[in-house]
Amino acid sequence: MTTPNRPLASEEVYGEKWDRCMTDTMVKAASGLALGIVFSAVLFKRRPWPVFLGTGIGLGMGYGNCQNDFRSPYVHSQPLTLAKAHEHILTKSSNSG
Amino acid sequence: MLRAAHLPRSQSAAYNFSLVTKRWQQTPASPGTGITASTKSTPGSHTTQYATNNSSSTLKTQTATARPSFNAPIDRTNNPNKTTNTPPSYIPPPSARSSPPTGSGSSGGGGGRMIKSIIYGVTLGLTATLVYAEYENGPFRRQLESTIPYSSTVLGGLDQVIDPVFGRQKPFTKEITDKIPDLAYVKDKIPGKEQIKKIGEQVKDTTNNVLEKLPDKTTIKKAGESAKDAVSNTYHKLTDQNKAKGVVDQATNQVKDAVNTVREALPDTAGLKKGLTHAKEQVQDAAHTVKETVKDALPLAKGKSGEPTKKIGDPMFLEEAGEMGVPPPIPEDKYKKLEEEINHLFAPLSKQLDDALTAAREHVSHMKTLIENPNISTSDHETWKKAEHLQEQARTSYEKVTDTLREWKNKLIEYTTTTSGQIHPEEKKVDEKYQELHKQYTTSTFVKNFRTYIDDATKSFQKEIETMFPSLAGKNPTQLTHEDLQALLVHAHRRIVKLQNDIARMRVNESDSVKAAIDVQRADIDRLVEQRVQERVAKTAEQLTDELKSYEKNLRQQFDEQLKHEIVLQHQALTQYLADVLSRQYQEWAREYEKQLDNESTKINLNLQNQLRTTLDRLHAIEQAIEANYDSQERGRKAQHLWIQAQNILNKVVHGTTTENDLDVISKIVPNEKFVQVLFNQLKTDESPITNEEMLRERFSHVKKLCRRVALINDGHNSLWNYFLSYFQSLLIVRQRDDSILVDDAIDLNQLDTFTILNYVQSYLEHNQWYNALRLMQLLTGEPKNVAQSWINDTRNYLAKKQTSELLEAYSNSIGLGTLPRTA
Repeated sequence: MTTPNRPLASEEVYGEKWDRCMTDTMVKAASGLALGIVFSAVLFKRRPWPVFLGTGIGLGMGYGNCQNDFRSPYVHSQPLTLAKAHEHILTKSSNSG
Repeated sequence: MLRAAHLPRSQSAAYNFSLVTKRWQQTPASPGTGITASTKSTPGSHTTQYATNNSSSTLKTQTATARPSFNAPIDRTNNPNKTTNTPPSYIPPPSARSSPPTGSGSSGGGGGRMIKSIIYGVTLGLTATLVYAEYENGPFRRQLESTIPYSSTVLGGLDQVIDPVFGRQKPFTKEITDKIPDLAYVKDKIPGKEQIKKIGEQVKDTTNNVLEKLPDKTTIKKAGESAKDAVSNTYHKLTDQNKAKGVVDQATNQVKDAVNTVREALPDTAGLKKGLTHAKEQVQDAAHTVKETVKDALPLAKGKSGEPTKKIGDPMFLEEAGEMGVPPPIPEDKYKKLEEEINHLFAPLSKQLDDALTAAREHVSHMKTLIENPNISTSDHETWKKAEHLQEQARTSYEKVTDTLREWKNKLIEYTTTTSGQIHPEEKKVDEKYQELHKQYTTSTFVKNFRTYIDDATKSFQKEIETMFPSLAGKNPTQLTHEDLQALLVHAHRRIVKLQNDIARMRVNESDSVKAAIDVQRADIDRLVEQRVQERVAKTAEQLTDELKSYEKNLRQQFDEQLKHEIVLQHQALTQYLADVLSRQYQEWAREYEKQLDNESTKINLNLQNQLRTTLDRLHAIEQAIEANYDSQERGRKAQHLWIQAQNILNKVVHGTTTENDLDVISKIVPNEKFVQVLFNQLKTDESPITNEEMLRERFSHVKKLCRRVALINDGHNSLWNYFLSYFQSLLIVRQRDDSILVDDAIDLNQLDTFTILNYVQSYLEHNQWYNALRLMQLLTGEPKNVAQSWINDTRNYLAKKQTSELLEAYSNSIGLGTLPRTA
């Protein structure tokens, strides 16, 4: 999407997450849909259920990914930035103090 | 700005409402398009949470269709019309055409439906993008505007509609137009070094001009002298003329008086008058010249004092002494002739006289010797012959002399008659000589007869002796006896007595006769003399009267001349006196003038020197004041500069546009301040991203929204459902802004939750209390904290930078306070 040429602000992380999520979901849904259509058309004699299945699988995967992504602060190295910020503060205080 | 950054929550509601109403209005118009539109996804809006607004975007399209007319942009406005316009080729989402599921729609409509659907899809996409861009007003819009050429105009046109209607404030996409005030302008206003120098130079120039315009000492002196000259001229002209006039008048009067006295003193004769008038004229001329010279001498006050004028004092001309009176002229020829004759005669006469004289003398001397020599006898013939010879000689010469003398006498008589009594000078000599000659001759004649006398005497004596004393005659003288001798003696004595008596008798007779003759002669002579005398007297009287006359004339002339001389001398004396007086007066006045001039000039000099001194002192004081002022101004300027720079930095920090240059300028301004160095280093090494308050506020609004939306998400494992729930909650919770926090510290730290915190922080931010805002923000928990973390960091950094720059400013203020000009 957007290549970060600067460190990402925390409020934009959320936005970016949602972007990712949505696109991902859409892609997955679309691909699911497509697969479903294909399968429906090819294998299942134009029955509607693969389409729905595929779409649902896609949506679900996307949903799961989203959720996982949103939970990621506790997996990613976000706390390090906090520590860095703290270090920054500490060094600042030591300098000025 | 604040309001621009802060989209009010209510706006979205109203927006929704309007959209809903529009939708309600528009739905009967085009149901088909609505259906087709609803199934389409809006590929242009890939930023996301507005997916639910897709339905509203359809309404937007319809609303967009309804208002094309007043839009400035050109082609694009036509496009939303759902007439059969061929869509331009640069429509962004070509994928929109591919993705819309043509398969979902009825394939039976044929090409018309296809085309319609395509058109609808395209317009829908476009409107969707536009609507979304308008709504989002953020990066999507910027991106759109940057990529698609005329979209900015379209969007601007839409802005013009949307903003008044929906109350949306200034969009963020615009750059903050009110720039940081250009401090360079302010910097220029401060008198820089050059200007101060210029001012100083100007002051110096003015002072120099003033100094030059002050007259120099020499010119002052000249001016003073000229002034003094003028003053003295007027003074002199006033006074001197009168005095000079008086003096001159006095002189003339004196001269006139002198002349008058002289005139009166002299007897009134013609010549005297003439001489007098002449003298008078001369004196008057002299007086006049004196006057002139005096007058001329006066205006020469500029000359050196004490210099005597050279015109006065010319000695008047002296008349020459008169000549002596010339005797009346003799008839020259006769006079001359006579004189010649006389002279002619005189030489031989004198010679003859001399000869005669010598002869006579010789004879006399010879005879004297003869006589005195008792031993001579009568028988000595030689001597007697010599004597006779001599006597003869003398006699002849004497006769000659008498003859010539007679002649000469005649001549002389003639001469004397002609010359009226004047005796020839030679006559006296001749007379003398003649008298001597005569004497000598008589003696010689007398002596001539000496011999005869001797003979006769002896003879007679012998005779006597014979007769008387016959007895004695025969005797020798040795044989004489005493009685004989006595007898001889008696005889001799008797003879002598007798002779003596005879002599006496004869003498008496002689004397008588002589007397008588003398008397007769005397009478004659007297008569003659009388005659002669009378003649002579007359002549001499005549002569004397003439002489007297001439003498008188002479005398008179002498008198005249002397008088003139006297007058001249007097005049001279007068003029000299005048000159002296004048010169003395002049000297006095000149001296006084000089004195006054000196006084005045020294006074003026002192005055001017005083003035000069005071002016110079003032100048020096001014210079010093200027320099001190300059120094203090310099420091003040430095401080101001620093302050301005600090302000600059502060502003830039606030607005987020610091550059390295600013910081370097600081270090250049005050290279010596340690504190500034510390701060400066701090600022320089600050690596946080550059922000400003606007951005932070903007971000805060964004952050706030996000925080509200994720308020329910905490640190635990949250699902997406929680996200939806929290979003839903954010929609539902309506909080008033709570400004009570600002009045009293009414924060209950135990009852904080996201919304309250956000509210409080909002109020703080609106009142610019960043520190409090930051403190509160740090109390967020959970996902909101994560969301707000970078904001918090940035705000912290920003505040730190701001604090540093504020410190710098404060420090510069403190410096600047010390250099303020001291005014009472």
